[in-house]
Amino acid sequence: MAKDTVLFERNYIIIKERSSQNETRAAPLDEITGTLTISEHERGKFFRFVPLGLEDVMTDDWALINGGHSVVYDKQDGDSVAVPSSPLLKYRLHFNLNDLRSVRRHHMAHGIAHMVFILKDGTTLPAFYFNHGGSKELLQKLAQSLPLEKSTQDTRLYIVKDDFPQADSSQAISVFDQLNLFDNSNDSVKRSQGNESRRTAVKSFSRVTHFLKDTLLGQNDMIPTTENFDRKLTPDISALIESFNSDFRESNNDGFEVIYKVDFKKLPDITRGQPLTLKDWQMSFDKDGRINDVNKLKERIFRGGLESNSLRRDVWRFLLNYYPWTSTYEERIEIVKQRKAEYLTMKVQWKSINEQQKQRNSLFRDRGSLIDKDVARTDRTHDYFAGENNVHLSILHDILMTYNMYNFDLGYVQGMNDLLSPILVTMEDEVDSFWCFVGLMSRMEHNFHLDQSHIKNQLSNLHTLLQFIDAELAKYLVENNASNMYFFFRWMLICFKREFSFDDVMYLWEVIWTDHICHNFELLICLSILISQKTVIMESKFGFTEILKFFNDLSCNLDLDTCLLSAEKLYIQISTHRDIPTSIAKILGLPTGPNQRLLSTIENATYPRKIYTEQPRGTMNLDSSYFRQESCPSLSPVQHETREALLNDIFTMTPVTEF
Amino acid sequence: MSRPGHFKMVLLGESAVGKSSLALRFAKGQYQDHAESTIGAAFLTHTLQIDADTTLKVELWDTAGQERYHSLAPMYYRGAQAALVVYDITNADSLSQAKKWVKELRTANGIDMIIGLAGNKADLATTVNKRKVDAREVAEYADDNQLIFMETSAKRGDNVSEIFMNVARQVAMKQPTNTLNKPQGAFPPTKPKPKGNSSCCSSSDSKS
Repeated sequence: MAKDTVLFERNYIIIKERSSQNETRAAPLDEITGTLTISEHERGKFFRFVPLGLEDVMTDDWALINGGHSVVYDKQDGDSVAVPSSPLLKYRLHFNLNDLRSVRRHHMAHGIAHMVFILKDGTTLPAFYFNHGGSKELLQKLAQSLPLEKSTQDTRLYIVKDDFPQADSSQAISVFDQLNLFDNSNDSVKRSQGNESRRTAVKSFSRVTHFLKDTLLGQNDMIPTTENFDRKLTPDISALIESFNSDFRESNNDGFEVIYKVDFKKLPDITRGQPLTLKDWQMSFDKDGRINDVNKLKERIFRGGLESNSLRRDVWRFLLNYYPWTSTYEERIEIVKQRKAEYLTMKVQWKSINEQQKQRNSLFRDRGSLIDKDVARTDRTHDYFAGENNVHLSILHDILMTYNMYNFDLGYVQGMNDLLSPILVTMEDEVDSFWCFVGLMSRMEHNFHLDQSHIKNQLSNLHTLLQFIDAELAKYLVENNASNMYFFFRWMLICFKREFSFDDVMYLWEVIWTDHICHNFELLICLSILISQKTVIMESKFGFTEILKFFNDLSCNLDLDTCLLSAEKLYIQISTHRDIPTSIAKILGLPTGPNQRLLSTIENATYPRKIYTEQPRGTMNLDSSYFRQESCPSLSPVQHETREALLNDIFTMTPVTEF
Repeated sequence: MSRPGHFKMVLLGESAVGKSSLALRFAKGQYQDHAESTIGAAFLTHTLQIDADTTLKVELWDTAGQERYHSLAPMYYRGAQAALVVYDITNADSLSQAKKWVKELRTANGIDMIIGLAGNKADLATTVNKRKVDAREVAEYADDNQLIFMETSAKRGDNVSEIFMNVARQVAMKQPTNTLNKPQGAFPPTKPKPKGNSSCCSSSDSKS
């Protein structure tokens, strides 16, 4: 075999990631140091990253992100040997340069750059940090091998223009010019605030990428839309979409004005709040144990979540309707007593079914077998459920079996185990977990109905909302057969359970359960993430398949506070609209009619709000995150003396007549 | 402009038979115990070297197995040139379910679709005597229905790339040659798989 020619090599390149899903938010990110090479080989040019210490380990194939234990084949005897002790194996990354779709290169304070690679199938590699420089050189090497062009919409983004394996030399030269030009541009706006620790900056940069100052309004000359690289997938996918879409997407025909693009910079500045503390919580009760001001409490939870798991153990009972908000101490003692008895009765019902009965009851048998299968693979990487014969798994099993008796029509459906797991981890009690789970299921059970109608509705609602707040992206998705929004199926079905770290999921859920600003807040979270990735999606010409893979890969790489802030900004944009269309108001549970909401919102100075003077929860400060990089001054209330002025600034509207 | 040949393939089968594990083993050479269930669908790609001058990129849809999500399956298998239907050799019901999938696929996509049938968890047959499905009977069924049948172990890696490779070869034979292309995909070159204990349909170790 021909020898590899090394075109680029750089040591001490770093990947920063959470090592597993169950680490806490505060835990530092793991740093994986390794060597990055571009080498030429008889089969083409390849990118690879090898963590330090793994240079000599041979595997039968190279990992491409994710995954757990690897199996390494020993060269000598050909037997497979499990190597569970090397979690670094999954950071051995490689790809053929021809599979590259885009590169984004960011500069941060102290001159450290990092690069994010996205492949044509939507795979996103973790960010590589060039602490000792070299990112520019790498970009130049890539430009020599690929028809790389700088995006006109996002100066950090480089798109591989087409599928030609090799660029000719003239193309390469033109890209060089662009690189040089680009390198001098807007470095100053990329700097983080000076008083911020580097870790914070690094952390925030390494997460979900960027909202963009501008979205694509005109046609992009550099990337003709006719050159659709994923034509190959289109016929299959269009058939797929067709089957799902038929009852979908009511047309946008109620004649309302739509917002062509979201302009986050013009929306009021908002922050997240501090988590509710145990002390705050204890002071919320009157002498009988009633909560004094439920709305205030819910708002507090909405803004900052809860301080600890032990506090969650109390508060979730209210949020999940196990305890009524108006109940007294005495009433709650009574509720617990009654519910415990009820639970035991139902548990005895299924426990006492004997083998002969089971033989004659296939429905019961099948459900039991499904529960067995899923319990065995529920959050097994979390300490609480790890190891063989873990007692918590049998509790999980018993609760799901009992829920099957409680709600036999629905029974057990895959995904319920995901919803129960954080509850059990929090409550650490079988009966309490069961009743909290019942409360959660009463919010979520329609997701699990046989006809999938609710999920379809929610996905359809997502598109309806998107048409209203970012008609351009909505149109793009229609044109690329992705308007069924099915890539959000998992997000919706189990309420982001797989998309964030375990601790973040708990925080996110309690925020959503407050129903504080509107119904269906989770839809706005989805949309804020979708819109944040708009440029990558549109300029990479991602179709349905690539978007699905792209979002699956985003799992656990999103910064929750940023997502929540952006979602709330979307809410502000919608709720302060002059004339909210009925369809939109219905989805979010907003009052309809011109200006009603607007009047009260603005005159009561609900927005912008800075309720808490302390440092907001989470390491991500909106001002220093991706919004700030764009060097756009936030809108502050004092700049607007009249409501009209605020309104004029909030909306950038372009009527769009049809899709 | 040319690109390597490619085809769409879908993984189907009852819940927890090992669809995602086969996909992970195939695409990334990895295995994970107690991997979480698939919600919705996952999409992977992997390039195979069919012969000296042919590469084929497999675009693999991995689906959720529970019956509740059956209604979504046509979204994935429609337009697919190939499918891998998976059952668990320690679970006889999962074979019945696999046969239903084969029937559904033949009805929807016709005889032209290349279908592989994987009897997964073959490692359990030898290490723990848990086999509930006799491979010879399945081989006969596979023969009658023009399926590429192998017993596989995602855990050990046995026959995983082999069954995908066999499916890909048949797809390649059916595809017009001009859609295929020169090698440019896999690197480092795929090493030969270790010989496992489980085997293809014709093997003698099928008896438990």
